[in-house]
Amino acid sequence: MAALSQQPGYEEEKLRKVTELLPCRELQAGFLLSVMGQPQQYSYPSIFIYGHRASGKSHVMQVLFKELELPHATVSCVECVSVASLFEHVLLSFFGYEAASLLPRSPSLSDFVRIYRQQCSRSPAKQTRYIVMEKSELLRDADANLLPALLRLQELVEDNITVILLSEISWDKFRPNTGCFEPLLLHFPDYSKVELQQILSLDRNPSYSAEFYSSYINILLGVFYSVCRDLRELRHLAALNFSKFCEPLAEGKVKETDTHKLWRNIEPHLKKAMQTVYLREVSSHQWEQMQQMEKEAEPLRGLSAHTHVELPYYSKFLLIAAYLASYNPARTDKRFFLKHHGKIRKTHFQKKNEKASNHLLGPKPFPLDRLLAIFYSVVDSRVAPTASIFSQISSLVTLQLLTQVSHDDQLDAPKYKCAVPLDFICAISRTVNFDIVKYLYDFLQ
Amino acid sequence: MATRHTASSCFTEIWIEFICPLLQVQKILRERLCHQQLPEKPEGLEAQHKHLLELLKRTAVHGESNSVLIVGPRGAGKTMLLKCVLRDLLEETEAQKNLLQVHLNGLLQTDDRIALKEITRQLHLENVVGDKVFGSFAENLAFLLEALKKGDRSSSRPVLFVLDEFDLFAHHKNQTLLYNLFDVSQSAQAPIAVVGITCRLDVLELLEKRVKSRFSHRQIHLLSSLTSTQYLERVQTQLSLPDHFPDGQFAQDWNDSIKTLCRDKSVGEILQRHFNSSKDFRSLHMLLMLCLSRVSVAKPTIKPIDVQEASRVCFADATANMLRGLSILELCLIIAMKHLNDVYEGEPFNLQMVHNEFKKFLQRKSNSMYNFERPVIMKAFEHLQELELIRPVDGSSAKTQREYRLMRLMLDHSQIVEALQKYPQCPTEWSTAHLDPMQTWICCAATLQEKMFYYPREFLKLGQMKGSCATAYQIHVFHGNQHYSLKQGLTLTWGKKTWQLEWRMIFFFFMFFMDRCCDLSQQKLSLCCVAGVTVRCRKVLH
Repeated sequence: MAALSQQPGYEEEKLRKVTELLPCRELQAGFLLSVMGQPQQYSYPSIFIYGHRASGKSHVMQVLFKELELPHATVSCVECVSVASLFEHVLLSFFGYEAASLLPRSPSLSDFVRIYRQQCSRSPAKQTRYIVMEKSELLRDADANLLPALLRLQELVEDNITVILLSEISWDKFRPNTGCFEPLLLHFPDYSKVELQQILSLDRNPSYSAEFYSSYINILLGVFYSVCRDLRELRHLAALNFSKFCEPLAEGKVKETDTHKLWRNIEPHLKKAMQTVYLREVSSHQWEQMQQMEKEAEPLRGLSAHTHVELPYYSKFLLIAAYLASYNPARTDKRFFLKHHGKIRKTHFQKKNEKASNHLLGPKPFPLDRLLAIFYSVVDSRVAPTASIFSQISSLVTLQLLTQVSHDDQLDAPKYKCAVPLDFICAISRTVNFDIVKYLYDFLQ
Repeated sequence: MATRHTASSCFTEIWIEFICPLLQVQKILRERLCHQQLPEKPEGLEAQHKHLLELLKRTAVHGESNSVLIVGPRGAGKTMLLKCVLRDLLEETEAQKNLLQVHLNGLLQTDDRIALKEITRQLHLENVVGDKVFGSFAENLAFLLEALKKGDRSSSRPVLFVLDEFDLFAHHKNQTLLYNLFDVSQSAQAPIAVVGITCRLDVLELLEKRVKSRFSHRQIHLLSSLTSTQYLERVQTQLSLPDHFPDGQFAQDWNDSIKTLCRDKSVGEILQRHFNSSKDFRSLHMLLMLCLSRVSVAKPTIKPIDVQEASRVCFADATANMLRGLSILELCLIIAMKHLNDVYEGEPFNLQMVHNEFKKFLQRKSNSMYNFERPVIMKAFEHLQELELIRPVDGSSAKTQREYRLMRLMLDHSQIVEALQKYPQCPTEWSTAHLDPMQTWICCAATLQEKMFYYPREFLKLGQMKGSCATAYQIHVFHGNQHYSLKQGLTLTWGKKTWQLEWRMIFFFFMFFMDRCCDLSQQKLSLCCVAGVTVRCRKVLH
């Protein structure tokens, strides 16, 4: 593969700068440049670049076009809510404001191509023009003719233009039924562990030594690499946790070289970060605050705040009853809730194959009658079926702890499903001293 | 100063010697490969060329109406054929003087209103139409054609309508445009020729009865009957420089180098492979374009290695590439899904089941390093869904909880196995031939530990392997009244590397072999029965 700095037709100085700005992506950038050829030559009509998130697709395109000063239009398909904004953006970047204003309201592709050709005949391309479409998988949801037309835009507008599509999804999932112009496929592999280390080490704090920072990155990668290879995510995590890492150093407890002690200090924090920051449960601001609080020797309270929902007493039992109704087969109700249920044939109950376990398959819908029947048998005191009970059911539905399965207009026999996980219901039942596990068919001994 | 001067003059010399012709080469070939520059004459399509030319000439010169469809697979040269015909047709002065052209594309003119506007524009009749309001489409079209009548009012000028992506026009409402065009071509109103270009063989089925009956049913099929030798010749002509190349000597050298390239055996094999997968121009152009892009000043000719590299890029398996970039957790989930697929014969699964399967696997290992929180696994699962490696089953409503939504794996058995083999931390020596689900599972175990474990045969040699045995475990197997014992060192030496073996891992493998009724003949053991085997284990200190 041709090295990046040897591409003819571009200034060497600029190429060197590009190389500096694209660590660990020289190979891909070099390949891309060689396909693009010199600015005045024709390039392949459409190029499709795919690779995982944060593997440098957009970055490479941005740096190449900006540093080498090539005419280009970068469009993010997320931003383009309508094709009109896409056309406008392209015309604006190539021909200026006047061309873009020529577009009629709600323009069709035909209008775009017409105006493009018109403008193009006035100012023909001296250099290849590039259109970069980021997140191009969204193009599949647009009009069916947009993607095939973009792929052969060079032929349609008869100009020296190349469309570059960037996506996280492979090309096979794009191809329309009747086929289309096949773009040139190019894969951006994800960064390897070594490369990640190299890139992450670039944004080190100048007040610490390079070895110190890279040992920190090493520890960070040790915790997160098996879960996440997203450079952006890792970078965020690295920035957030570095101050914690330096803490013992600032207090003078350890030296920079004492990696083991530093590791012992930081590891639980990184684990905690995995459960919170990585999952976006807390914002980075909250995370910093939490770390501050911890410094003031306050015990860290449970982060999974979503397990604490305050409900009225009967609502709790209603929810428990709903859970039981959803996860137990109806035929076992007799065995669980009837005083004189006759002889239990244990063997019958134990013959369960795993596939049938409701905790694997998910909750089943149940009618309102069954819910109430179970509710009356699990709640300690006698409760009258008043309107307050029924309104609590509907407020549980509003809270999305229950979901109504049947249609809204079916008033006489509504059906529900319980939508809470096991640990949630266990926490709820603990607050009312109810041992729910004993009543669950799946956990029957 | 002097040195700089010589340097620059030297540079100019190189420029003239090398870069300039290379620039020319890139320019000419890129125009040919990327911009679909028209060839001198369409190769292999002479008969079709003649037929079409004859047909259009009759319209252009004699004012005869016609309609024809050019049908052929993508990249077969349909547009190229038509353009060549038009080029040749316009060489005749009479045709040039007479003929008007309207080019429509199914991708651009998505409905008849837009199409009509485009026709008006291309016939330069915007001023004539002005603000007139027409009752129907037919009226409008008739007016347009009327407007084209010559001064003597006896005959209109012939118009050529080219409909690219013809099949898309058939989806327009009531097929009004097609009906009217064919109707005009049928009833001698004005001389028009309608040329449709499509890649759908069943295109006539798409037409309504009234449209179909007005079509002349003339079709030109471009079904390539290319042989592999012709394919090779085509490669050569596509890469060769024309005679009018400014630097004759360079062109000579270049063409010679292309000739030797095509004679190369490895290149022949690659081209044969491409030929077998598709014969069309486009994929060939892509390959040659990739070869061409590797030509630089330092390397001014195409070498067989370039062709190999280009072919590698062309044939790269996208899914495998994407799988290689997954994190270990995501890959483990994929394996768990595959396992579920194997057990339940392709039934859809949900996250809960996958998680359960994954947990079962983790229980077999003492190492809790991969004991992730459930939400972390959920995030990995959702990432897989974003990558469309798994897809929700249709009808699995949005109302169900995320962990119970039914999914299907969009990957093939072989793709997963291949990805596992290429996965960076996986050992490369895995035998490709026999990887059944269980074995894949073990591969995963090995990957997780970042240790090389999976050697079904070699594992049996474990006893013979030299290791520094600080501690050793002894496994006793009682089967019936027979008694076997296996001694294993804790350290496995393989090549230059050593791995720490956990005894549970060993045990796991051992159970696995008994499960599979393996013949451990190398150990002079034969365990052929699964039931009734008790395994007891005792730690023995050396």
